[in-house]
Amino acid sequence: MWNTLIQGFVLALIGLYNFLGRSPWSMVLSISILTIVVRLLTVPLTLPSQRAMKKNAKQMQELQPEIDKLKKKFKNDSQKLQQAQLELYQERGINPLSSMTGCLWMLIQLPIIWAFYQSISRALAYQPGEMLVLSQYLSPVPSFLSLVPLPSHWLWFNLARPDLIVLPLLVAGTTWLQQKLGSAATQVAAADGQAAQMSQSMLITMPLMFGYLAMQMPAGLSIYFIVSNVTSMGIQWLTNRWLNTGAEEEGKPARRSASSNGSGTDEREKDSGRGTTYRKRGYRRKG
Amino acid sequence: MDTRTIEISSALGARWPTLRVRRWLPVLLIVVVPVLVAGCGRNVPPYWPGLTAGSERVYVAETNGQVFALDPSTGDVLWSYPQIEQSGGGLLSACSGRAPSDGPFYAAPTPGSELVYLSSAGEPTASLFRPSVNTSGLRALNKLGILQWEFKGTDSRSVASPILSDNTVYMSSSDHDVYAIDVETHDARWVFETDNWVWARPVVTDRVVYVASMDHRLYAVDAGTGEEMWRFDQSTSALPSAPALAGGVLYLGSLGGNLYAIDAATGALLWQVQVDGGLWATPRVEGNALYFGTLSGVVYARDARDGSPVWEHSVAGEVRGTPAYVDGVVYIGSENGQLYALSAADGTEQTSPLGQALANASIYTSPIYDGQRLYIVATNAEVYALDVSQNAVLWKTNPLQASEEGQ
Repeated sequence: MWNTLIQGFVLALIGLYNFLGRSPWSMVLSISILTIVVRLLTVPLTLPSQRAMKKNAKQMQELQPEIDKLKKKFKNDSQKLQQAQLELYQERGINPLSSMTGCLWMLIQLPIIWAFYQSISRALAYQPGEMLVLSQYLSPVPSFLSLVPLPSHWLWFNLARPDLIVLPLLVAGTTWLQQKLGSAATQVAAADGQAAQMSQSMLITMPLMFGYLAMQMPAGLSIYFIVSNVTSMGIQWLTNRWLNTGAEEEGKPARRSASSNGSGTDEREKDSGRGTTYRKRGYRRKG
Repeated sequence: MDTRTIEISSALGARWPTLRVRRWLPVLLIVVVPVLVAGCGRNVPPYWPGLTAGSERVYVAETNGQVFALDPSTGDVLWSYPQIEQSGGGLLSACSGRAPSDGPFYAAPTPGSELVYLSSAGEPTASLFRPSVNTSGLRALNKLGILQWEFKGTDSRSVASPILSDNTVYMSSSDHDVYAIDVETHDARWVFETDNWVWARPVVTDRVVYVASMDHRLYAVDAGTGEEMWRFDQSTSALPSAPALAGGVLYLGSLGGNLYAIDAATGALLWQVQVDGGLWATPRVEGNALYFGTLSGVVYARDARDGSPVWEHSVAGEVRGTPAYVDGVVYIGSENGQLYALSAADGTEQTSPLGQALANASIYTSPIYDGQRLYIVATNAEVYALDVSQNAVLWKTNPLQASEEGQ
C-alpha cells in the first residue's frame, strides 16, 4: 500500500517531467506542480482541524478572563482549579479537546505528504541502490526507463545534493511566514498565555530546524518544502477568509440572543463579534 | 502550577490523572521527529559488496565502506583499510553511526603486481560548519594495506573497479568523467568527459578504452590520447555496466532490458534483443554463448552470434551480478540469498555448493572463480569459499565481525 502510493507519485512526477519537455526546468516544474496538487488535495483533510482550532481559540479567548479569575481564586489548589475549569467548560458547552480532534484530522494528511516527499527522493536517485529501486517503481511504464537518470543540475543547484545557503534560507523564511500566518489564524497568541509561548517557540525553532534540514537534504526536497510552504500560505489565506465569513454568519444570531437577555457574557460576545468584523474589514481595506 | 509545565489533563475531567508535561516537550517532539524521519528517510542501501579474488589474496569491499584482504586458503583477515571512526557532528549522524576515515570503498579492488588499487565512493563534502573534505578518487595500497599514494582529482564518487593496464589506472567517476591515471606520476594523463555518471568500469584493450555511460551511450576512446574514436548512441536507456568484449564484439546490457552486440572496431550495431527486466551487470561470454541475469529474476543463455534464445531460468529475486562459469555450470547469486548453479547446456538447476539460501541476506555481487575456489559475498558481509567439485563450503568468514573481535 505504502509502496504503491510512492510508486504512484513517482510515476506522476516522471510522467509530468516527460510531458513538460525533459529539461532540468521540467523536473523543477513537475516537483512544484505536483506539490501544489498534493497540498490542494489534502485541503479537505485539514479544513475540519482549522475550523475546530479557530472555534476553540475563539471560545477560549472569550473564556480567558474567567479562567484568570479562577486561577487567582485557586492558585494554591490545582485540583480545585481543575474541577472549576471543567465545570466552567461544561457550563458554556465548550470542549477543549475539539482542537485535539482537529489535530487528528491533520495527521490523516501526513502519510500522503510523506509518500510524496519520499517519491521525490526516489525519483532523484543518485546512487546505484536508489537507481535500482527507481527502476522497480518505473516497471509499470517501461518507456519511462529511457528517461532516467533524471537531470539533476538546475541553475547552480544539484537537485540530488544539498544546497548550503540559498535554498535553506528560502526554506527557513517560508516556514517562518507560514508559521506566522498559521498562528495568527488560530489566534493562539491572544487566547492562552502558555499556548502563546509555545507558539512563539515554534515560530523560531521550526524555521531554524527546517533550514538546517534543507542543508542536509537533496535540493529537490528543499524545492518541495518551499513550494509547499508557499502553497500552504495561500491555502491558509483562503481558509481564513472562508472561516471568517462562517464566523460572521454564526455571530449574527448570537448578537440577537445577547440583546434579548442582556447578560454581561452576551455583551462581551457582542463586542467580540463587532471587533472581529471590524478587524476583517480593516484588513480588506489595507489589502 | 509550575510555569514551565503545561497541564493538559484538565480537559479530560477529574477522573483522569493530571498530566503535566514540560512546556518544551511538544516543541521538541514536533522538531525531532521530522529530523529523524528526514535524516533516515533515504534508507535504500546505496551499495553492495565488491569482491576480487587472486591466488595471493581475496579482497572484499564491504557495505560499511572498508576493504578487507583475506587469506584465500583460510579466510583469515590479513588487513583492512581504512580505519573506522565515529562520524563527527550533526544531528543526522545518529542515522549513519560509525564511518570509515577514508572513502568509503564499495567497488571490487584491483590488484596489481605490487599495489592494490581502490576507487572511492566518497565525494567532496561542503559544510558551513566544517572545512570541506574530498574523499573521492583513487587509492593505491601496498600488499600490507598501507596507503602509498592517492589521486584526488575527481569531483564525485566512483562506484566501479579501476582497471590497471600498461602503467595506467583507468577509473570511471560519477562526475561524468573517465580518468587515465599514470601510476608513476600519480596524475591524470587524460580525462574523457561524458554527459552523465559513469558507473561502469572501463574496458581496456591495447589501443582502446570502452566507456559505458549513464547518458545512454557507449564511447570508444583512444587509450593513448583520450580522444573519442566513435560512439554508440542507439541505446534507449542508461548503461550501468561495462560491455563484455569477445571476438571483436562488445556485448552490452542496458537498464531498459536491451542486450546489444556492437562491432568493437566501428561501433556498428550487429544485433539487439529485448529481455524481461533490466540488465545491471556485464554478460558472461563462454564460447558461443552469453549468460546474464536480469532485475526481474530471469537468467538467460543466448547465442552470442545472433542473440537467439538458448534457455532461460527464473530465479527468485533480482540478479545484479555477472555469472561465473566453471566446468559447464553457470553460478549466479540472487536477491533471495541463494547461489544458483545452472547447467550451461540447458539451464537445469543443479545442487548449489552453498546449500540453502542465506537468511536475511542477498547475493548481489558477482561470484568469482580463481581456478580453485568459487568465492561469494553476501549483503550481510559474509564471505564464502566454495569447492564446486565437492559442493562444499571450504570456509566462511564475516570480516566485519572478525575485525571487531580482533580489536
